[in-house]
Amino acid sequence: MEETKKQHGGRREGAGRPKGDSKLYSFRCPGDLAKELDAKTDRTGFIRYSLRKALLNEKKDPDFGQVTRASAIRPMHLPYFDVRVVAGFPVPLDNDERSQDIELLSMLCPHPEASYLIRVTGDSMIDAGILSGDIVIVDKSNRNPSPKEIAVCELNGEYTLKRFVEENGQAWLVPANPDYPKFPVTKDDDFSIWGTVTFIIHKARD
Amino acid sequence: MWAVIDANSYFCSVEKVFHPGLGGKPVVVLSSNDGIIVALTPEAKALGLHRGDPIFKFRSIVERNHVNVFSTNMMLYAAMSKRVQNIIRKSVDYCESYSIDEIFADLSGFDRNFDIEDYMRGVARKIKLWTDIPVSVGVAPTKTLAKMGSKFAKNYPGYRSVCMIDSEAKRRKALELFELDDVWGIGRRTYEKLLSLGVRTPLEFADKPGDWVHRHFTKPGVQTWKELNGCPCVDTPEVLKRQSITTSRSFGEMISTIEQVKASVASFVASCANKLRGQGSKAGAVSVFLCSNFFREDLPQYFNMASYSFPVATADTIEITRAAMAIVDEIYRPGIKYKKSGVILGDIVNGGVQQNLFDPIDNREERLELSRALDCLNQKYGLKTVRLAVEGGNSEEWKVKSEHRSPNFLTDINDLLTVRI
Repeated sequence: MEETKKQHGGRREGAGRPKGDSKLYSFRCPGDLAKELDAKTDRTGFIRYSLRKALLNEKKDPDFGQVTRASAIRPMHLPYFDVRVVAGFPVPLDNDERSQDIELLSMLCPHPEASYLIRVTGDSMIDAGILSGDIVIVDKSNRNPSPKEIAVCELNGEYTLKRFVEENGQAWLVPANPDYPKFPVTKDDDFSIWGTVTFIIHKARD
Repeated sequence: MWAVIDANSYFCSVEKVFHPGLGGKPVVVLSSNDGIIVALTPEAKALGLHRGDPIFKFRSIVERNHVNVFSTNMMLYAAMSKRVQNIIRKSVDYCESYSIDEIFADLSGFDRNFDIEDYMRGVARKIKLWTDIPVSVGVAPTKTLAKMGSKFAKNYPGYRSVCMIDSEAKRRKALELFELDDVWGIGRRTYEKLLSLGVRTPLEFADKPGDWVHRHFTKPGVQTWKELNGCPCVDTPEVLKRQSITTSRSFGEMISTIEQVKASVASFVASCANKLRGQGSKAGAVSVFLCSNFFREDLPQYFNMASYSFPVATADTIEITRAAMAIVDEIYRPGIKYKKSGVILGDIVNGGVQQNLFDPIDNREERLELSRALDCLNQKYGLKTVRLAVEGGNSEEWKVKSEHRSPNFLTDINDLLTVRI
């Protein structure tokens, strides 16, 4: 009985992992990758190198420090200190009163999508403060300018910049320079209002 | 409910904003290099011009009728598009931009507080007032139906720029009248397949039973069928990101040296890769094609195209450029005068990419960061401020010829609209 028992179970000669300090691993990989691997002359060396590289990458810090995106840089606002100058005494300020930021853009263009910049040449609007070479900010959402406002108009296939005034049922384009005549707009003219000037950008020259 | 806001003859409408006296006049915009018509007003259509016509064949029509011709200025159109989209985004919280002149807006819950038709008419009126761009709006339970609505709104002034498909009767009526090959998501191949299966109108397609559709079509076809039946299932970002990214252009003058060809291809790779990173995707493959001038039958003709698959999907300009240059080496033939080249990034994947242990590049993160840094610089200081040396200098012969291009009225302080007063 004992002899037959010995033939089953127990250790089989030569089975299991070979002895020694190196371990044997097997793994699966996709077909195209396997092809690439098979093509390597030193497969073990390559796998070892790749593994080491992957491990190193896990904790490696970039050598060249932090890369900051250019887009992450914040725009600068002009600080605005609401302090009337008092000679002699320094005025202590509470936090609440200290400073406000002026956002020039939102001040000049409350609706950026409707604001357009136009450069002006010519001197027919000099008395309204528009000089040749100035840039005007035009609000397209206002197509009903008051007689005091300055309108960008399209008249018979050309743009112009004038005050649009209606008197006794007659429409006029009125310049702001006594050397220029005012111009009647009739029903036969191809006329429309393009927008209304909100601000004038004038470069302070020397 | 979904709304699609679609600008009418968008490129032409932008040109009209900055050029006085074009109201009611025929206007066409030509492709880069002034080759073919890419946009035209209804007045130009009435003269017998079509999208895709090569302009040199229609010179006489253009001259006889004083058609106003412009070259494409994408920078100007993109700047105006941003304004239009911002206006919409101020009115509707959730929007998905689909192309330069189309945007989807999610109107879920709006019907509780607003009359949707009135509300969208208000948005359209505001866009017209603030930018002078006319738009057509389609409103429907699904994006595919909404796009049909916008076409109806564009073609029939009676809708006063908003067409709503919000009842079963309206849906069936619209499906019956609409052209099958104009349906969003039905491309040429799907269209031919539908015809061969005996389907002639969108309504006939929508009325097919589900198992018939599943038998004959894959996911995109089934999605279109569901959408036509009022069941929303198309995700715009998914559609957009799935599409391959292409940049191709005809050259101002024909080029023949390999350096010139490489410079053009490298520059197209740069703009494709920039777009790829912009949408947070990676490409698994790059294709390059070269093409001679087919209108010059006296010259030897050549067309060739080849592709390369990356071991790991990538968005790294340097890596993609290197692969593209290898393709050029392979398909370039001396003695040919090349008129056009192009780059296509395919196998687009989004977000996380499976790592590959045997990746030949070991600092992917840093290199991607480098490419992103280039994007930021170029965004801030102007396109192509920093570029790879292989892209060449600024005065290359292959650069686009566009004789009628408008100035960058909205983006360049030196190009502002100037008015003589």
